[in-house]
Amino acid sequence: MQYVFWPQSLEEGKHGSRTVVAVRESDTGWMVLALLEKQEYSSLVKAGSCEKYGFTNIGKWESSSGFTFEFSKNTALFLVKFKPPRLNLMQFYSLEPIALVLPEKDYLIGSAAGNNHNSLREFHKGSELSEFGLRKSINLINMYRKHLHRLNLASEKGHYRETSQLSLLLARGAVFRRPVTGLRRCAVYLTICAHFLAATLVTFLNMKPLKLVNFSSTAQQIDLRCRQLCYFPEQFLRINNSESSGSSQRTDVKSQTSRIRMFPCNSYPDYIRFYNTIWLIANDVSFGLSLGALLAENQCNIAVFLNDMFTRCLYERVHFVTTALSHNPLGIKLNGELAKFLSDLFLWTIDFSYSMYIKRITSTRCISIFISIVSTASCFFGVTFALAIAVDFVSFLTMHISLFYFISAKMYHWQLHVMQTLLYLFCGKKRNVLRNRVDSNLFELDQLLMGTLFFTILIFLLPTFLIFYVLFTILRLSVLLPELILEFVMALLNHFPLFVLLLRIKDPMRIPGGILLQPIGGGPEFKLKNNPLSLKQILRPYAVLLATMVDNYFTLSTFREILVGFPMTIKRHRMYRVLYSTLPEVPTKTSEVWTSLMSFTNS
Amino acid sequence: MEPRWKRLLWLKQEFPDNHTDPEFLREVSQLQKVEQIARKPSSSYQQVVIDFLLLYHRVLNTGLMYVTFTLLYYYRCDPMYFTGSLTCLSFLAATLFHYARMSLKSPLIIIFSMLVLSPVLKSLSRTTSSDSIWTISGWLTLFYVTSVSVRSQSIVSTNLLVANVAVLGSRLNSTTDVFCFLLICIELNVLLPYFERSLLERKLFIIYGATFVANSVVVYYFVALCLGWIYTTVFAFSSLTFVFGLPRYFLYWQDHYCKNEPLLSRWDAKRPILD
Amino acid sequence: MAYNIAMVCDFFYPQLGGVEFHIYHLAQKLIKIGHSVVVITHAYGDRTGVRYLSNGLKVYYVPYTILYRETSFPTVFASFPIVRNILIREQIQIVHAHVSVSSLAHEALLHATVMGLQTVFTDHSLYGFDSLASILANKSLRFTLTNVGAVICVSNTCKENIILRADLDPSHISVIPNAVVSEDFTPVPRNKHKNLDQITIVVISRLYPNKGADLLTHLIPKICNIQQNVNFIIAGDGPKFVDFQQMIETYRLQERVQLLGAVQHENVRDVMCQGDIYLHASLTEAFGTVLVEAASCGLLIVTTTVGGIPEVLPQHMTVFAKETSVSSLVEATSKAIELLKQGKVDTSLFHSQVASIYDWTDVAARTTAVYRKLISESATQNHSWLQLLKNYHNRGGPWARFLYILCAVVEFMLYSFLEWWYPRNQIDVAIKWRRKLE
Repeated sequence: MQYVFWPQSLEEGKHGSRTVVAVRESDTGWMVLALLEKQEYSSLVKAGSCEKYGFTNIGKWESSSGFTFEFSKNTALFLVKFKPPRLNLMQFYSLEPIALVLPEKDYLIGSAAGNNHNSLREFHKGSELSEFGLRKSINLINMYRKHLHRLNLASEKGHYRETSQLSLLLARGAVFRRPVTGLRRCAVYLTICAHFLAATLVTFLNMKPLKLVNFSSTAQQIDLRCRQLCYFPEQFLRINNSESSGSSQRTDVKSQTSRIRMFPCNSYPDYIRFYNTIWLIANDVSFGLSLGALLAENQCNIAVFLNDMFTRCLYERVHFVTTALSHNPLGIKLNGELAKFLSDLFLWTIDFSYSMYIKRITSTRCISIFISIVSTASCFFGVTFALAIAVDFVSFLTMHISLFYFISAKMYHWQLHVMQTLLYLFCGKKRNVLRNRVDSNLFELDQLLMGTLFFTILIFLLPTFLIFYVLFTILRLSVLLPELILEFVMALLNHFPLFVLLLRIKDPMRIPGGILLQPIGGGPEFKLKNNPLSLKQILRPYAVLLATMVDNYFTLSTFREILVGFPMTIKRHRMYRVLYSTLPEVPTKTSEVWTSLMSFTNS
Repeated sequence: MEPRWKRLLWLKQEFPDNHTDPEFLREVSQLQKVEQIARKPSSSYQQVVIDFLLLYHRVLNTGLMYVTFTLLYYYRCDPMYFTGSLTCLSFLAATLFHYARMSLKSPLIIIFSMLVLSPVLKSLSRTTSSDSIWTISGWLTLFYVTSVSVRSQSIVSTNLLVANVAVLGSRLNSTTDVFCFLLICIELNVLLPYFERSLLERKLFIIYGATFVANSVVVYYFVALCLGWIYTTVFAFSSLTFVFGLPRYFLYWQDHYCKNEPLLSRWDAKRPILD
Repeated sequence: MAYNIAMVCDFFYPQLGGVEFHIYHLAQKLIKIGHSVVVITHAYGDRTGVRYLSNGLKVYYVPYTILYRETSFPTVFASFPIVRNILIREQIQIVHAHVSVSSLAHEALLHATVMGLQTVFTDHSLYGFDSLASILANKSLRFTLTNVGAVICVSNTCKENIILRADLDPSHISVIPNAVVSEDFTPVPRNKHKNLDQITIVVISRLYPNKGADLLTHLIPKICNIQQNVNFIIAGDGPKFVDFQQMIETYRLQERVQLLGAVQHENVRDVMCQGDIYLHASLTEAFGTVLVEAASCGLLIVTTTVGGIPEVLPQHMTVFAKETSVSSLVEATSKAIELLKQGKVDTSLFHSQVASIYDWTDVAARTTAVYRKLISESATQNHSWLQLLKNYHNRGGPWARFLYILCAVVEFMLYSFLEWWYPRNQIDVAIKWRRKLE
């Protein structure tokens, strides 16, 4: 069985009888390069380039009857037509979807592509060879233009040696090098400085005992930008190195075997990620400029409005509701003493926090200063920073509500736990902590009496705790919701695969998501097509993020947790882990970047 | 001579699978008869009366709790002396009867914890209306009476009782009252039955009878005092019916409706005998 | 003469248990004889539709609501369309229903009766008369078994029980015991003079109260106390598992009592073969397949005498405890240990003896005899609807009678409607599994 890969545009403008010249590597099918006249081919053979590069005559092509395979008889022939990819335009074929996230973080998004791939592997376990062959063939097809180029060179100037061309290339390089070197040096020093600063900042923000990143969304935003900054040189090097290595490969051609092994598309995902990031940052800043201008313009109005709103929502309303709770609201029978104690405690905290900081911060002057800061940040660093600062500001101002929430949740949870334990006692059982099971146990009279007394007391106190807990849960939720929305917008702005989407529209060949073999007619002829990444695959991290958010806040299990009194928090770290999937876990060390940069500039 | 059919599965017998032996049939018809004919009474009237009497005693015993509560709540009696003497008495009884379990530690713990908890208890149900408390207490009493097993102490019933006492206690006016009420109730309703059971076990029926009579006298006297003679008579008659009339019906029901005939119950899961 | 048989039961593979294995093995042997067998059960999770098991045993997993412990929701009539369809598709002649708590089985019996098919019912367990659930089960059994062709019981006790519960003519009831696949329960070969210093007692049972779990938790410490060289292996899971753990911890028996938890069916033999005595403390049992399995593995059996247990095994394989008390069981166990120590019983012969007594081929042959009798009798019997109605009328008390007749009439009407709405000739006939020629 033989596969022959046939470029689609090959037959255009060709007449008569031609010799079909093709190449192949071990385990691959034949890839047809050109249809040559007889004498052209014989001159090639004479020049010895056929032997050198593996150009082989595999059959005849007639304009009337088409292709006849002559290389080996009695084998089934499958003709696969393909559109030659342009590697210089970064088009290529690939068996697997191109990785938009770093491969080592693939598990985070649990990508469907990866799973499919695994099952494919499973499926092909028996026939591993054939899959391997296909993979190699695809690589060969990706190299089509290079092989063709070489054929053209060989046939044009049979006598012309590559060395001369190469020396020309080198000479040209030398001409350009000198004035550029100085500039390059400058850029390298600048990059290293920036990298060092950014890396230090990242380490500081992620320092263990505090881990600012988990608290503040501004810190998170700074952290993200710094990580991106740290990763830039590496990405840049990777993109450029592969190109240079490709060229160096070419220089080695004569000394090494004549086959082209290096696969240049490895760096393309890096390229896409790199430019996606840059584009997003530019986007961010441009949005930021307009938002900043808007804020600066309406500074006074906004300040007055915010002042009014904050005072009302954060102080007056909360105060009112808490006071109301101590006076048997809606005829609910609360325990007077306990309700009074709790509401006094909370009222005291409210008053304290209001007089200590809320009042001062929410004064019109303070807010207008804050707005100008936000607008400046927005202009310089982008709209995400403005949003991040706003989120932090809100969470700082609502700190007392969070505090109440945590206190009441803790008390409520503790009470439920104790009641459960006492209920076991009521039925003559006890929980065995060592074995994690419920044993039956004979209790002494005094134990029983004490337990039941406590149980009765707790039963009577439960409604009071419950109502406080419910109130502060609702307050907390109403604070969390806008924060979550803002965070989601930030996530969108920070990680939206804009570049990939544009590529999808402009040139789907550049983001291959697999291949498709389509039969043509009834015969053994197929068309090799590129399956571009689907929208679903591109937006996969978002789907995962949304699922995580829904999972965290809107599921039955969350509801149950709230019911039982487990405190809920923004698990910022967990949410963002998905979106950080285009960045390495730990930024590279400055020294490493230094050495690689130096080696790059010196090469 | 033809071999006889045996009721065995492992033996290969020369009978068809649907063979029905006359012996087998006789047994079955006997069983079928059992299902239809009313049987001889399975337990004696006297025994049932005693059981009912024990249950009645427990109900009276529960009545003591309400007596104490009414005395404290409506009549504002000073409970101090009574509590003190009762506590001394129970200590005396405990030492006299050498209860192994009654070390000094556990009563002390109970007393002190109740001392600590009584202020909390007192304020517990302030905002709840009295009617709700009476209702809760009524239900708890009902559950208690149904969960009481006559001859032994069960954990759930004790717990229900203490819960009931705590609920009632939260209505009282002063912390001292609450504490005394708790203590009295625990002594009267938990320790006294315990004591009585041990009397029964030691076959000291006269002392047991004395406690029973004392208990009845207190409750009846109190009912007469509070509600008048008419109610007392009604109460007395209904209890007499309960103790002496109901057993007749119980026996009738047992014979005609409750099929715990040994022959018919051979397919029920056997009762494990844990000796 | 080959018959087309449908086995109907709520309990079947993937659930594993006595009834499930019974149906499976019986069906396999019937197929081997040359009959065609399909199994109808309810869907288990995503296991719905038609599946084939080995030798072309076709299983219909009908999607039903599950009520409690894998019993489908009783609907009386709702299953009629699909059951009728299956019965016609498969050209069924005999509907064989199993287990009296399976509502699917009851309904299938009713439908088959109305459709004029032959019906057989096998009961596997014993039921009392005084709990509400058993009264309900008995009433519905009485109704559905009114026109049943034949009933099979697994033991004589079970036969007595069903005669009383369903008020049946004893001559309609055959006693065909369960069997075991004796190749799956072979003893480990051991030398004649095995060192019997150390005796291991095996218990394999679901740890439920009605399986005697309470007896066991009291019994084990006592035996461990009396007999110093006796160890226990307990396999099985259930609500009483914690009690066993507690028992072990209280009496410090970790060295001597092994608690294995749930054991896969294919590993039961390996567990049994580790022991010398099998202890069975069940409080109710219709047949006790596990006893036969244990005896087949060469274990001496110590058991209570509840239900059908006394009929199951020959005297020399068993030591009976007279009553379901701890002391009586302790006595029986001690006796068994003595017997083993003095070499008075030769357990090595148990396997071949059991294999000759209990064999699925024998069970299948006896069941086929029941089928044959049924088919031959059916020609002479009156199966008109009026006769069926009369039969329903003659059952039950004055109130139940009306309910029975009402149900029957509705069923008849439903059948007529279905015949008009989805006529027989529009239902495709399923192609039978082609048997390998042997």
